[in-house]
Amino acid sequence: MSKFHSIPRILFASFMFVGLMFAWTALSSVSESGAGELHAFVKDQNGQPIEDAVVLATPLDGQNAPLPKQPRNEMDQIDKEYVPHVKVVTADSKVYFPNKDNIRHHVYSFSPAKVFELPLYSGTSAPPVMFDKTGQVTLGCNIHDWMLGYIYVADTPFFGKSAKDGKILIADIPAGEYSVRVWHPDMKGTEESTMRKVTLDITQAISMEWQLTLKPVFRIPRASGSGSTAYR
Amino acid sequence: MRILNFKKLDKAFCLVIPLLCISPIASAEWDGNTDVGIRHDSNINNAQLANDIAGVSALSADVSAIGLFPLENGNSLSITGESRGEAFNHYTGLNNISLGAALAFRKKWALGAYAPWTGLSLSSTHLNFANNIRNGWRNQIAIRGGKRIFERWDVRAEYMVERRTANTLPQDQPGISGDVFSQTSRAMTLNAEYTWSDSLFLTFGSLLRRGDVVASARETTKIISSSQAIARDPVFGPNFYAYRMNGTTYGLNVDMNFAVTSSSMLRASISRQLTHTEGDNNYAKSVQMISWNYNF
Repeated sequence: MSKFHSIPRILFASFMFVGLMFAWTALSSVSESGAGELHAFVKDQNGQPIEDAVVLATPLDGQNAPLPKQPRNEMDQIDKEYVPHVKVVTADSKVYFPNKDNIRHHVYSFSPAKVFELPLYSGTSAPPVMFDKTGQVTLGCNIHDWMLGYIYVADTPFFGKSAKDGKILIADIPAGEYSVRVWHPDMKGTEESTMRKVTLDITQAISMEWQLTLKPVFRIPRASGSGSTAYR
Repeated sequence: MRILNFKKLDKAFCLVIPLLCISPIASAEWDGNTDVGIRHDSNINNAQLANDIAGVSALSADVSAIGLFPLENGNSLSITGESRGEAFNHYTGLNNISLGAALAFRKKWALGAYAPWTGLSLSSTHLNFANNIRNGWRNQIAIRGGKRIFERWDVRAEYMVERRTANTLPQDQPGISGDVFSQTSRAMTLNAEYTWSDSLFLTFGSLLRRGDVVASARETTKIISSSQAIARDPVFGPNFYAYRMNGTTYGLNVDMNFAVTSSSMLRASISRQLTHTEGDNNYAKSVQMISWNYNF
């Protein structure tokens, strides 16, 4: 038999070998990355989806998860309001406070997690503020009393914030055991009361749902009955 | 001889323009307001006797511009320019246009919405009436203070001294001045504002005023003997006189303000005032007002 008749068999065997190698490599890489997904839905006591709810997944193995590259953190001031209303950053993050109004603002906070003030400034002249302690930071403006914003300083890089539909996706979470909890600025009760343990793996995404009781919140209105200015 | 040194002017511009750009003027908050309303006064002439009392309604329109200049350490300055007109359904001699300006300084004594504040304001307004016997200047100086005491309650107090100057009219009674529309008074007001919702506010106010009051009525011995100045007041009729006396006014008012849109507000108010004068020429009045305010 000529050696030429064995060439197709050799080629077939070669292709099979290479294919098996690729498959084995792919499987190995998936199991090494261990990335999972957590889908969350947060609603209120009336079953309505809640915006600006923050879900945090903290690894229970105690290892410090590598921080993904942080975007520049900004809390804007636009049309005499803080934008976004709620911002989440990891501990030891810097936050910039650009003032995009054509008037000056005076940013301050009395929260234990960060007490600070940025006296009257306009534009981007204010230096960034380092948030090194975890927890809630409530922001006000000493000129415009109705301005209210929140910065939540997280103890984990695995977090997400809900939009108007109440849904949150936290992607690329390494496989492992986590403590997952919810925070919202208007929630009754504590974050700890919402805590659940969950094991994340790569085979399937996990879905979780919370129902929070929100307290009625009074916010100093922008309009005022006194003085000649109707709406500030 | 060169009158204008253009080189120096160029240098001056190079200094002034950047200064204007970085000065507080460049970052001031400017607001405009226009207000249109209807007022009913049950006793516009402050008369005691039923036959003399004149109740009227008036249409008013007001335009004002306010500049707010936040300063360091919780201080702020504001400048207001205001023009106002009123037209009455009767006694059209009271129709008036006024033009005024005010300067106010305010200090907030701590950070936050619950910080107490104090302020001082000066204002001057020229009053022009269809019947010019009342024309003159109204000058006011006031000290104020306030604080949000609970999340829905905001209280403020004001002590104001007002001086009105007008032309001296021909003397009508021997030994009694004709300078009837020049007045001095002091007033203390206390107001509490309750925020019902994002758009609805209720204000409860009280007034204590001491000083000159002017009543226009037919001549009586009692009123003449108590008056510091007397002059004919043809606005209310040929037999009416204006009498300036010393009096104390007590008043209460309730206002409701409803923010219809983000730029406009509907206001309704009702007030009741009782005035006790020397010689018991006492009088009372109720004033109701409804107005629409637009902010631009």
